[in-house]
Amino acid sequence: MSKAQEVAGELEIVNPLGLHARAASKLVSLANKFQSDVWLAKGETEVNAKSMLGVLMLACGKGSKVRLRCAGGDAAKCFDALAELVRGGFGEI
Amino acid sequence: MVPITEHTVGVVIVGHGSTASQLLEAARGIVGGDALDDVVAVDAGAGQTPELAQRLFAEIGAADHGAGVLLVVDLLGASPCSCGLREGVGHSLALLSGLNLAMLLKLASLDRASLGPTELAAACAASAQRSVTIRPPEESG
Repeated sequence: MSKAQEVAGELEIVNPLGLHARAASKLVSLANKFQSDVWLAKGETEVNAKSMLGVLMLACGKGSKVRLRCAGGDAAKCFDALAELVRGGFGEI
Repeated sequence: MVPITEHTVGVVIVGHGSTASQLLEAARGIVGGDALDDVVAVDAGAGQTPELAQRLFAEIGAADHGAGVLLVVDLLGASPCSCGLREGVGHSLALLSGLNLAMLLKLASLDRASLGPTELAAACAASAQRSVTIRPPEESG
């Protein structure tokens, strides 16, 4: 078991529709594949990124800056996978 | 399709008009995958009929694999709700009212083989309640 760690970074939502329901579903599904706890923040609001409703409540449009934070034994892999999904526009661009 | 065992809680959704099938389709379209494949929607149309009662009796019976059934209804106390409760007698059935999309999305994320009907209902209700918010005009821009 690898040592618990925390990885965080800022990402931009780049797909035209923003973090809409299907995109949020992809993010949450991917986050749930990892053991790490995952949080997503916009402004001062931080939500559990393993919760669909939490992610949707951030109401992130295109161009929104979000902070992704992963904590746990697989935090680095988790962060990389989620960051790739976000940077790739959730496969929509 | 997610394997169904005797530990899997079945889910039947019933609502006025075609709200049940429409919301279930919307949820399936959002979450993808197969988590909601075995969930059944029963459209009550305009109200209670013998056909609705028969359909609910059959669907609730089919959904009970041994672990009970979660009956999701749109409006507490209305005909689809009361008809479902009546036809569900004899099954270990938990009622969840206030059908909305958020609760179905939550349902898709839950393991229905490890949670009971009441636990599932509670988790879905919490999501549904959180999804109802008010933002005044000055905060909605």
